[in-house]
Amino acid sequence: MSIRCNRVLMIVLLAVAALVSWPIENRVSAAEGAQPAQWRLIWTTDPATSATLAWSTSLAGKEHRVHLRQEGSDQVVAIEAYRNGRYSGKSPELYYHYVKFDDLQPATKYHVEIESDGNRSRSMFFITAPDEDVPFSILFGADSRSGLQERRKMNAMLSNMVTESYQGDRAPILAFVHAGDFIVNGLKLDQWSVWMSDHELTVGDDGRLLPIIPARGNHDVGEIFNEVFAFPAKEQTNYYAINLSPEVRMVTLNSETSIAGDQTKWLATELADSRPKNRWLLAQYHRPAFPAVKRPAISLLYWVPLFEEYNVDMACEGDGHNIKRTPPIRASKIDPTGVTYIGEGGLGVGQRTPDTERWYLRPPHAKTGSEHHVQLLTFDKEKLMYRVVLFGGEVFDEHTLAVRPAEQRAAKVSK
Amino acid sequence: MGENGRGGDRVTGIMPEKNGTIAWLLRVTVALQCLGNWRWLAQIGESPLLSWLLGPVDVGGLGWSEATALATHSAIGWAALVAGVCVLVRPCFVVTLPLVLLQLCITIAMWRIGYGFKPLLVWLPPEVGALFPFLTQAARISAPLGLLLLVSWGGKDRSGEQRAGVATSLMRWAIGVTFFAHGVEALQHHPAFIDLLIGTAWRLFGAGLPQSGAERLLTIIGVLDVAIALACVATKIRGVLWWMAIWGGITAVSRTTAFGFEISWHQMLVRMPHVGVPIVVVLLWHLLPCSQSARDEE
Repeated sequence: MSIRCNRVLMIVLLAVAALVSWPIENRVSAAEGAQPAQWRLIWTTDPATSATLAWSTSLAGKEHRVHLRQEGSDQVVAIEAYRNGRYSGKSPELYYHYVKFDDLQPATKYHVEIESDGNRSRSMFFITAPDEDVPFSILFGADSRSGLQERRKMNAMLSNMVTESYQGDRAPILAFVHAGDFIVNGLKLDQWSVWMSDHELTVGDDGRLLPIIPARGNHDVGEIFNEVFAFPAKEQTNYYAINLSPEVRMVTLNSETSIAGDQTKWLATELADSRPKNRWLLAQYHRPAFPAVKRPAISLLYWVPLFEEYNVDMACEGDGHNIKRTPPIRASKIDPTGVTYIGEGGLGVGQRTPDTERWYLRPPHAKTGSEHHVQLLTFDKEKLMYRVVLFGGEVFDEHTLAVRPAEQRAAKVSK
Repeated sequence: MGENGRGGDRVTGIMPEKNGTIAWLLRVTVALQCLGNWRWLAQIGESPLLSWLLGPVDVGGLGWSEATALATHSAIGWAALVAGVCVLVRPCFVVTLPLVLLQLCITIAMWRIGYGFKPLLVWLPPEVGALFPFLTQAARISAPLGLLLLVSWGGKDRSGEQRAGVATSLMRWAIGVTFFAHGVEALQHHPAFIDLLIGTAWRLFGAGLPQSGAERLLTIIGVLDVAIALACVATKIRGVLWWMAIWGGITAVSRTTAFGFEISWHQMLVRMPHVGVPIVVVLLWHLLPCSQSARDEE
């Protein structure tokens, strides 16, 4: 008996040792020398007048700047990087650089060329958010952490969608709202490096940069997230709110830091202040309160009551790896005055099957699916048009939210 | 396989008339852990194990199809429930070994998919930090492993007594390591711990604990946890282990006080080893010398 048991234990130990030594594939992207690469235009402050341009180099370099020119002007302004440094993580050797643009003109095209130690990027451009109440669109998605081929294909599709949106009388796509899980292991720079290189695919052939509004996902732990998206060093909060137009406000929350603490207090203040001032009020965060696959995050206890109290129009969630649109929900019931929850991440990651037995996912009030997708939100004065776009451009789901009556936007709902 | 063919209601290598309590304590601990695992895997249906099974191979997963992964995941949950019942009836080798493997697999899954808290230390390579679940889960692995070594293996000869000594050391280190890891998490103000404190204060006392207050409490808790962990492995003070058992119980129950019993009772049960293991070690410390002296008298 004893000998047999020892043999069994030996086999078990060998199996465990084999598993432990089984490597996870590393993929390293190429930023070469001091040649600028991996550019990201980031919107975490007022996008009508400001933006942050971040990029990477493989060498530390000495001089990093961006040459900025406003459309219609010959004047080129060189803006020095306000912060340079090495990304956390040993491999690959990679350096970040940020330039912050302030005092920009709203709804204006700006041409940029990035320069590091005399090496210049190609000429690109971006357009600031409008300060007038005009129709526009944004892209929403999450979970680009795995399925790298699909991620690249998706990024190329986003680029095409943005280019097309500026043709004819369409509502142009202003930005890309990403609800987190960019990569698998937030502590591994090699994975972030590949993501940053892949993100270049969102840049149009004409050089149009797609601004990103990032939220932290559960896989995006650690300092590199801050470094990729130009948040202050050691930032733990990563929650903020910006106006995409005078009437549309996007609140980005962080489901990976304390939910019940300061963040909920901040959210209450933010919603109380912004609800009466905006026609459309949305929130994005990673872990879902009304999940289609997983169990609810504790945001259900702390954030959802505030969403309902202040009549948030739509909550954009990630993490579940499926397509989801709930009916409007208030007090755990379907209610036309409630909050609509969409999600849950399909920018590359393998898709799960939603549990349509859940009360908030049953057709015909809800719509769910399991394909790679991005969600297109179009705002105008009367409605918010929601579309789920699959690879190839097929529209999987289309839904319209009517604008809330003025009295719902003016005051909070009594508990 | 149990001693005297009685289904393993006694710990091997220790005076039979004094060890029934230890065997039953371990059996109940593991049975409750199994019940929690059943709820987690078969009912809740979401765990790091499932994410590992589903995850693509290139990012550390096994790349199974969703249907296969879900069926396997659920089957493992139900098997854990059956094993939990068997542990109470007859904790033989074929029951306890798979339970050890289950806890190991959950831990490996956490490591492979990067699940759970990661210590944010500049000097710590991410590959090493990713192994943190092996520390946090050590006590949960040690409960069925202790049961296997102490009860399932059988034999009341000298090797049984040696095995009891090994099991005692193993469980002592496991609970010490787990306490240390939780201390590190507390010192780094793990957000989930902050929300546990705020949620518990709100639900139990109707009091709004500010985040800064929760963070100060966590610093104190973290220092205490690390100190207790060091004392556990460096000394043989029984009060240290009793403290671990009480604090382990409080932290296990805190899941239900913070988020409600209905949705999180399984989280409390899977942490039962944090209560049972330190008590078992204390009792073994008490009994092993008795066994030795009785043998000497013979």
